Amino acid sequence: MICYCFGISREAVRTHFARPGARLDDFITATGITTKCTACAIDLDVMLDEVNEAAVAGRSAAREDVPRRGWRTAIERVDSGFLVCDGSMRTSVRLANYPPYFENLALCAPHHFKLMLFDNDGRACARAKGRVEPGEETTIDLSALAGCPPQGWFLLRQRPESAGHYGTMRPQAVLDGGTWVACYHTQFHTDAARDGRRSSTPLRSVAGRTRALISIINGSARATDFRATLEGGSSAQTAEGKLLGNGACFLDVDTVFPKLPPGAPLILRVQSTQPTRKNLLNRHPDGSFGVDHFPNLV
Amino acid sequence: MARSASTTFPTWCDVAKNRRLFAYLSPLILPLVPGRAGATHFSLNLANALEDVAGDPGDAEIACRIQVFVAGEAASDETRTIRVKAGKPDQSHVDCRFAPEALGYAEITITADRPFFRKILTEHMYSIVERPDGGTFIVNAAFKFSDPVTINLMRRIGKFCLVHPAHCVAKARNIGNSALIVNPFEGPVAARLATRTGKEIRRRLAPHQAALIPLEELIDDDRISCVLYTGSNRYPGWDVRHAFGDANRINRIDHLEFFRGDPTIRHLSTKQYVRAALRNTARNLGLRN
Repeated sequence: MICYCFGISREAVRTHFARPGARLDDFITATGITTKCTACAIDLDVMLDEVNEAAVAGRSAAREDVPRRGWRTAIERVDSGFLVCDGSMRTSVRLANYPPYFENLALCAPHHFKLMLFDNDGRACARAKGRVEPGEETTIDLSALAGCPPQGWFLLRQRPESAGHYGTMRPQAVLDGGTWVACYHTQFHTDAARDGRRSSTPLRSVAGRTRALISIINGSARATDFRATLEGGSSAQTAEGKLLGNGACFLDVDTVFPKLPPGAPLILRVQSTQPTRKNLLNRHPDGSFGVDHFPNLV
Repeated sequence: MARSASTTFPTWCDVAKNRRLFAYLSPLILPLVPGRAGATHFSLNLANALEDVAGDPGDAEIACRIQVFVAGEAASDETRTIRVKAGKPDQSHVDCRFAPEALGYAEITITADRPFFRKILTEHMYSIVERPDGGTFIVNAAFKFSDPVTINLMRRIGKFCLVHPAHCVAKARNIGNSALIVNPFEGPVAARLATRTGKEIRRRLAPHQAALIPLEELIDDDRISCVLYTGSNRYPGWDVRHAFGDANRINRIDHLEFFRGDPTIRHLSTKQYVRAALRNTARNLGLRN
């Protein structure tokens, strides 16, 4: 049974969608499924995904049924993000390892982590390591680490120590400016790209200013050239720069591109010869900041 | 709960070629802050989006329906028609500006007059909030249905769970933090926010209601805290950073994170295992990141 309110079986769902061109709306209208308590909505989504998979030749209906053969290996996660600990703000990294409802710790796995801090010139300046057990959380104040640079970036490796789920372990970087706090979730370091995904961000010019800073991290040990292109209206402006291996920098968009086209949606694109990670910081007039990584696609 | 009237579940055009086409994209849910907190600008780059999701370079007529719900009520409902010829849309962007009287959300549904899309999710889904003082920040939209992370979570864990590990409220430093939760469905949702100290907030959201839930009653003052979000149904949620006691002075809105159902252990072939071991060794020696 998938919907107890209207007594709809899973078989009824499969039968309906076995017909090519079957419409979900028709099924909802005919049966009332998902319209009363709505608890079945998630289960229906999962089922539709399975039906979908099963309908395509050569693909398994249940991806979970992949044979478990080969070398058993823990999946290491390597994330990165920028840091600022220059007195105007400090950066912390936050890890939490909890199961849903805080109930079943067996769903989680203990993780150990290694953290490396780099300055803008690509020098490894500080390190830290530790463990996060299921049911635990930790805050790593980067400014408290000996050798922490005023600006730079961090590389965080997390390795699970047993079978479980990644769960809530996606790190958050916390920027604390004293009278404001902003967070961003880190991304895989392998998301670094030369161009394409996560290489462009929308901006908005208000009174001729974007108030935007762009963080660029060189994800490679080799030096890289980069080119930032600001497109808006019918015009495009470019600026170029270099980063040392493992280096990083912040671009002040209003300084690099002093003549912004008025009133047009702006897109800033960063291309590089080596893979780079990009984040956006928004300075607000009251001194607070917003922060985010470049969107996946714009 | 009903999907958009024109929503069609997969229509397979050519199963033999392992090719499916869809007549719709999963609706996007975009949170809308009140106009006094800022104007929300949504811009969908259709030309780029079609490059990503169009199943063929042919002609089609696409409808972009933008429904706005404010304070739980339908506030506007507009449909824009875009004609695609040889894969190129007759307008490059769909732009909207929202400045509602109260908290709300926009539901953006894109359908085609024939099976046209090769996947039902588009990642072109952000908006920019422009604050009254001229500050701006980006907000990501959420999928109403078919989010792979949600499906993964339900398949592997069987429970809906969102998380934010770094909420922070500090009264003396004028730092406020709230959770923005949207119920885009036709039925009510009972949301539950909990901390490991046993504190919790329960909130019932009527259909099409958006709620801003201040966190100062839930988490300790000036201490970074983790909050888990569960409920009777799934719902999209965002973390809203603002001045203490003034939810209209917002400096950042980010989506809440999912409890990830990804397993920590995988099985590799010998070749994959050797490559992973070499990569790991190189990282340990500082030869690569």
